[in-house]
Amino acid sequence: MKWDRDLKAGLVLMLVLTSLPWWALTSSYTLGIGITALTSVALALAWNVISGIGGQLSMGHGAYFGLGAYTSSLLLVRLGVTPWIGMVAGAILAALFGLCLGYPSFRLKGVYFKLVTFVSSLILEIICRSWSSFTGGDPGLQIPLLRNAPAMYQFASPIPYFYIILAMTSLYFLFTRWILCSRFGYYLQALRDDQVAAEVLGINSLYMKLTGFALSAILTALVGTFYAQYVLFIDPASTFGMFVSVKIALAAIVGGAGTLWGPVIGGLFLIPLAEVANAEFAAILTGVDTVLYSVVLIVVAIFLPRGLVSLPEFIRARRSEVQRMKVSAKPAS
Amino acid sequence: MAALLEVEGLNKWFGGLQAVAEVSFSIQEGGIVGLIGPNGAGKSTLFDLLSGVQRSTTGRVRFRGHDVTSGGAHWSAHRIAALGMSRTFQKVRVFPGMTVLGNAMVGAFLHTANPAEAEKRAEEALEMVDLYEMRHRSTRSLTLVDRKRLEMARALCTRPSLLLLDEVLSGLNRQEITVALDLIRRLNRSGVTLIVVEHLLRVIMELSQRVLVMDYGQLIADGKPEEVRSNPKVIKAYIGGTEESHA
Repeated sequence: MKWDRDLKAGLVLMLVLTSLPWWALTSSYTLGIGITALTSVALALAWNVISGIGGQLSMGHGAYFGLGAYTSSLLLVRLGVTPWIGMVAGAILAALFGLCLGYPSFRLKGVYFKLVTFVSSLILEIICRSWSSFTGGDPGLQIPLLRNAPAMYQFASPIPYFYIILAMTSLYFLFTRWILCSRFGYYLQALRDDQVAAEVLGINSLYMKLTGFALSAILTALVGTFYAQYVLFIDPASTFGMFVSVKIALAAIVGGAGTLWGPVIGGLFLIPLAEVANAEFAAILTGVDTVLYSVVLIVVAIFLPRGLVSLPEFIRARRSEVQRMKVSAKPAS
Repeated sequence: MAALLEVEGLNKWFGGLQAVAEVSFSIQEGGIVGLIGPNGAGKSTLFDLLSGVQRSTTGRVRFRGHDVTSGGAHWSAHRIAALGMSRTFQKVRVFPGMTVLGNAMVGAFLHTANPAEAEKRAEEALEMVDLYEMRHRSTRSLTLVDRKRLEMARALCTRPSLLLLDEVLSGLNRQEITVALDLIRRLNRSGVTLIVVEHLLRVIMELSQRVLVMDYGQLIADGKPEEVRSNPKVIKAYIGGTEESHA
């Protein structure tokens, strides 16, 4: 691990975040926002592996989030299995689902692959709703309240949850950093940029894409289990729902898909901002979060297509443009 | 000595259009083979078939003793590349989202999983094509010439035994061509066999020891440059057109 700027900045950020429950996030409400923010970062980083770095845009990552949440919860509720083990089962199932989905669809042209991913989570949502005898259906599934039971992935206070998701997010960040420097990461980016050129350099595109997809699914599913154990209630819409998939993708895209810090920025700012705005304005106007997402997306698409992470570059470019205009006596042609 | 590349009765149909028609030839290791022909003759398609980018309709291609067209299971491009065949494209395809060094490293990773080692090899290749100084630049700021050089360096990093160059000289001025030719000859001396597609007939005659000529998908001539130059079929194929001039 090279001790570079990213690692240093990441360490500082992690230390700051670690300290937050002591001075900034002191109530259940504020801790909840912090947990939501970190959850979004983790999901965005997971999505980023195949869709940002790999460039294979998935609009159905809710499928893996839901598979993680439901697998561990059903194993717990029906068979009494601790979610720590259920989490692994959920991750494996998510990976298998991703592989089964990817194998036929990765050969399809870009837009069709995106459609397949989009539909896949909808299909799981429908199955979840219909098979209510098994999954609890539309009304959802309640995880029995145990108060403090660390062995069963439950804690009485939000603080342990905060640290668990902080640890996960930090690991995902380190993993992303490693990928970006590794052969795997270079190969994924090459495939993203130009698949044919990548293939003639010896890159097995199907194998690389499937591996990326499986990894992304696993990372997403693990967060799904965390979510289930934190909220203690899951239902088809909040897990497999389309909006979940869109939020995950949005956080990474707005922040800067394919980069290390993009998902971090997108997850930390966009999602909590939207949730808080929604709560504050709930009395005056509903759906403020949706409006906010749309506005932010449009602004970013027009001015910062490479995401918020490209803001320093954007400012530098503007500054040098202003310099050039001041220096030159001739009007711009 | 077994041939490096053997092509037997290669055919490619795109619907009703026959892009490559019963092409057969064989290439030994070492040396530079020129491939010429009017526009639309099927040269790039032939390269696509050899490198696995496209599947042949019928015919056989044997590279380093391996039958890469084995019946129905035509080898995919990445397997052929791993075997030691590399290529450049008529329309340069560098990776826009990566730096110059990054591009070259993608090639180098074929023979190593270690990023530090890949970086070293990539830097060596970049030095060979005189792009070392620009290695941290984004490809967006590169001129066409530099992008062509990058594509060559990247292909070199895969340590090919056979390198297919598809019109690397088009768009280059006289000076740039001289530099490029020197690079090609150096590559050849270092042990890489080359098949070079070019429109500049004078250059090809000078560069290659052997010339293949295609027209309407068929191989109409195969021999030494002097023989090919005076071949009536070749002259007829270029009828009405003089050797293409470059800007």
